[in-house]
Amino acid sequence: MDNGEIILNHKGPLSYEEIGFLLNRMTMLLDKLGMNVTTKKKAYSAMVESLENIYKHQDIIADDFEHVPLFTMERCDESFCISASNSILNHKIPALKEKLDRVNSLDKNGLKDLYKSTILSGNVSPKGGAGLGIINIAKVSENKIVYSFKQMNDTHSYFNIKVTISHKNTK
Amino acid sequence: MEDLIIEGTNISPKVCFEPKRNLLEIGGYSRPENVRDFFYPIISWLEKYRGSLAAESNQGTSREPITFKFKFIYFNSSSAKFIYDIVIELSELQRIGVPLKIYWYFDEDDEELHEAGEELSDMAHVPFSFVEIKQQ
Repeated sequence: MDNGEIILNHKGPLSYEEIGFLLNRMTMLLDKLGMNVTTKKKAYSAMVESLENIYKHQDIIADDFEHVPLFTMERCDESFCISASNSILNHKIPALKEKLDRVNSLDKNGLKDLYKSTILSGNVSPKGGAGLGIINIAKVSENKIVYSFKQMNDTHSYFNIKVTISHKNTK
Repeated sequence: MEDLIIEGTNISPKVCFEPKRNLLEIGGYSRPENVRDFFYPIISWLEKYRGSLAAESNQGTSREPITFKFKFIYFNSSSAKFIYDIVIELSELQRIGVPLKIYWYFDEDDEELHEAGEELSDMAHVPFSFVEIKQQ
């Protein structure tokens, strides 16, 4: 990520209403910056999936003010970078890591095929828990999803993903 | 069969199923908090509709074609599975011989939404007519 300007941020537990508020803010900001429909839709899609991921999986730990849900959107010269962090249970890490590595290993057509096969498999929970959200993020992102897990204690880790949406030549 | 009308919001789609007019539409934004609670009544309505159309067909009544319009602006990944279920219901209608035309609307700049429609059509083996909405 080059030196960008943070245009949107949220720290702390996330409500569904706040997701709507952040999306409206982003749409207004990108309109103001003169971004086209393609960039706005890609940013919208990546934001919804990232924020809903935080909302649905925020395993908040009481009295831990360092590892609270965190969302930022940064504007760089040629891209927007979305960063989303939340704490997760350690035992959920291997499955999530496997999904992230899988989408990162695929090209556009591979992601399309995975998206289709995931829906057709029927193994989609009401949360979209089969990983459709991650596939959607990978489809709109120009680069691979950058992720990290930082162990907090025996039960929890702090999970972060970074997603880049290009706006080069799309103004 | 009664109409199914649901007002749209900035998180849930507008639904306008009017069997008497042979016109069914769903569109807008879809990222409801409880996606299952939102879509189950819609899919259940379509199942009942299929039952009533099958009964009509058994009586040998010929019928006007039905038009189904998808007019989404955005839907999230949790909604995608349920939209696929709607398309499957439509394929069932075609399977029992109901004349049905399906339209998928998308903004001319929104290639993602266009592709999403192509993927759904392809997955369910149901032909869609694509309608590009021109910017003002």
